[in-house]
Parts: sequence; C-alpha cells; structure tokens
Amino acid sequence: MYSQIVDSVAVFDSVAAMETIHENAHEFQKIDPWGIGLTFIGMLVVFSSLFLLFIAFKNLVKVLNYLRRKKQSKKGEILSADLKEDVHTGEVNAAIAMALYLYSQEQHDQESLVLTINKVARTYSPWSSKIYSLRQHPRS
Amino acid sequence: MEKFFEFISHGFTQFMSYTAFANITAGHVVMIVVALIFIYLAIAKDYEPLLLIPIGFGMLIGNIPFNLGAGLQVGIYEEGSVLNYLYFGVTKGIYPPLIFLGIGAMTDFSTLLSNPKLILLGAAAQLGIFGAYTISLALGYLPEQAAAIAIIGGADGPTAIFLSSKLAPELVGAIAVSAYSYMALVPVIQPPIMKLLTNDKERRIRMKPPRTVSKTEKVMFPIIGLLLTCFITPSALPLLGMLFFGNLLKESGVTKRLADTAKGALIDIVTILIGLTVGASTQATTFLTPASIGIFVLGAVSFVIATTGGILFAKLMNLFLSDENKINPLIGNSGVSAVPDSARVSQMVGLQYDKTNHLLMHAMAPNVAGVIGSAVAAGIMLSFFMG
Repeated sequence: MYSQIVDSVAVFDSVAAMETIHENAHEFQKIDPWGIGLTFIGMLVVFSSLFLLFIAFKNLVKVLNYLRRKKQSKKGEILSADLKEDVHTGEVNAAIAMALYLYSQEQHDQESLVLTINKVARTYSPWSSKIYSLRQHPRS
Repeated sequence: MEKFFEFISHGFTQFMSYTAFANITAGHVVMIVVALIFIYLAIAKDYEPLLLIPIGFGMLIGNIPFNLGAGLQVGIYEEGSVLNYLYFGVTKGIYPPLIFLGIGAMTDFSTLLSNPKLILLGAAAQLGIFGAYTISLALGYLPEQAAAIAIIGGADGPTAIFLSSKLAPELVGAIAVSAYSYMALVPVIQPPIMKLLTNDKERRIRMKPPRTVSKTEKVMFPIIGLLLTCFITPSALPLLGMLFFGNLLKESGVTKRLADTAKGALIDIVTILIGLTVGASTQATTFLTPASIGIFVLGAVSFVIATTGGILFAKLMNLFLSDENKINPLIGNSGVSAVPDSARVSQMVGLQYDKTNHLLMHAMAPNVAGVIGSAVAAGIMLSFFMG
C-alpha cells in the first residue's frame, strides 16, 4: 500500500514536472523563438561563473603567501620571499624524478638471492574445479 | 492423436512467432550493424573502448527483435523488465552524478590552478551548446528538446544524459549515443578546425611551464569551486556537488580508500550500467526516427562550434596578454570537455609543428574547466525550463 502511494506520488511529480517544462518551453517559443536571449544569458552566466573561479584562484596564492609570511614573521623566521625564489617548474621536477628513478633502477647489486616458493591454497569450488573442465585421463 | 498434433503445431507456431526471426525489421538490422561498427571501432581502433563496448553491446541487446505484444518483460521500455529497472538510473538522472563523483576523484586540477586564466577557455567552448540550441530551434525542434540536444556540444556524456533525462526523456538514447560517438571522434573532428583557425606562428607559441601547486590550494579548490559555481547555478548541484566532492576525497589525502572506490570500482560499475542501458535504449522501434538522425547532425555541428569558440577566444585573449604569457591557441579546442581526448588532440597537433612543444599539461586546464562549464550550462538550461 505504502509503495503504491510512493509510486503514484512519484508519477504525479514527474508528470507535473514535465507539464511545467512544456509550459515554460511554450512560453519560450513565443518570447524567444530563435533562442538568442537564452544564448546570451547562458553564455553570460557560464562566463561569470568561471570568471569568478578565475578571480578566486588567481588571488588564492597571494592570500596564502600573505598568511604564510605573516605567520613566519610572527615567529621571527626569515621570510622565504626575501630569499631567492625556490619554486621548481614542472620540467625541473620531472627531470629530478627521472634522475632518481634511473638511479634507483640501477641498484641491482645487493639483491636477495633467497628464493621462496609459497604454497597457495584455494578453497574448493565446483565452479572452478578441474574435474569438470578436464577429462579424467587426458592421455588414455 | 489429432489433438496432440494440433497442440504441437500450435505450440511450434507460437514459439516461432516469439523468435527474433519472426519479428525482425530493417530497423533492427541497421541498428545491429551500427552496434557492430561501435564494437569494431572500440576494439580495432581503440576509440573510447570503455564507452563504446558497453554502448555497442547494449545496442545489440536492445535490438534483438522480440514479440512486443507478448508481454515477455524483456525490453528496456517494458515496465517490470530487468533492463527497465537498470534504465531507471538513466531516466531519473542517478548515474551521471555518480560518474561525476568518480571523475572528480580522478582529476588533477593543478594545471588549472597554476594558470587560472585558462579557465576562461572552458567557458568559451560552451558556445557550442548555445549555438546548437539556436540551430535546433531553427530546425523545428521544441525548445526543451533543443536544449537537451544542444548539451551534446558540452562533450560530456553524463551531463548530456542528466539534462536530456530531465527535459526530453524520449531523446535520451539518441543524445547519449550521439554525445559519446562524437567524443570518440574528437581526434577526427577537431584537428582540421584547429589548423584552419590558426597560423603557423600561433601554433608554435611556447607557454610558460605550469608552476607547482601547493596542497592547500588543491584542498581549497573543490570547496571554493562548489560554493562559487553552485551559488550561481544551484540546479547544477547534483553534477558539480559530486564532482567537487570526489575531488576533495582525492586531494584531502585522508580519504584515500573512498577516493580509490570512487575512481575505481564505483565509476566502473556505473559506466557499465550507463553504457549498457543507453545502448539498449536505442531499440530500433523507438530510436530510428528522423529526430534521431537530426540529433546526430546537430551533435557534429555543436562540436564544431564549441571547438571554434575555444580557439577564437584563445586568440582574443592573446590580444591582451604580454608576450611571455601568451596562450597557444591550439589548446582552445580543449575547452570541449571530452577529458582527456581533446587535450591529447592539442598535444598531437602542437607536436606536428614543433616537436619539443608539449601542450598536454596546458591543455588539461581548459579541458577540466570545460567539465565545470558544461555542468553550469546544463544547470542554466534546467533552471530556465524547470523553474
């Protein structure tokens, strides 16, 4: 009974939503038959949303750096900005990473010579049993 | 004895009427051929195999002819069938936000953070959506259908499915198949436009290497991004909310298990379900209509407009930028949010003109901004028509 009520409410909601969409679309067709208005507003909103992100993230670094300097100056530390800028580019980082990788790849001298064979036990399952996939006496 | 033979004969005739051979139409054959082409492109040409295999096989499943009047409850549009239940996730817009969760958890936004002005290229490429909207209206589609079709220009499958399931559920199959097909064809569609709209000097522009982005910035990005974008377009909340949530799981560094699930098992499961059901929804009896063919044409047009918008806007930005900050307009195409295919196209075309000029990292910025942009555009469409 409960599920029937929930179903009928859901159907009513979706029907009502579709009716609203059709009504709005009908209005749109009258007011903005070529879609120029929606295009203009749409692009404006998309640009303003992403422009806000641009402004926010452009200034985020400045704010973070300012806060860091303030914290450091409170502690009496030397301001890192006063020293030579120590920011590596992606290319420099990639070169360092590659050098470290190549160096670590060459470390073969001290490899362990002990070989271990691990016994693997699997739970029996008829789904993967060889009894059903192989003949009992393949060579006979 | 006669009664027995009559029974056998009746049973056999009835069985034969249920087989696919008795119910096949030319439409089914066409769709099966299309499905086989999709599967071929995925396996032999490696075009978006993770999408084209489920969609292609789903098309095969959806186009096995059966007796519609028999009440077998096997078709995707038959109430009570298993496929119908799985399709519920598409029609109610459940799958797309889950995919966005996974995309958020696997996307690194640091290139965008290191050069925030490239976000604007992601906005410019959304011209494809609104351009396709006006053209769809001119071709006689209803405004809500035109809006659903236009979102193909966002080159974002989940967004296209999400919006079309709300505005024009009858077109979901055609729109999804069109969107995913053109996303797979990005390496074919975009390069000629990119070459046409740029000159040799512009194609060789070298951009400043991206700076290192701190962890604090990366953690703050999803929180600030959500607040700013969703305060403007709350209707995009299901998509953007999940996208930024997924990204916070990744960048916070303390929820590795959740991030791994979101970008691994969860997105794989949802991709399988969405691909298979969208493919199956292309049942010849409901899919092969002039409207569907029109959608395919409009999908291509929207991709062309979106690519053009991104490239021309990059050129426009260059007019106001200093020489050292200039943007290579070949990354403008990446505003089309087919991640990471359009960024790969930027890299590929860029290397054709300068073998040491790697544009991939720069192109990823407008690429991921395009994801946000197309979700915002979908939100605008929703709020206009559903408000």
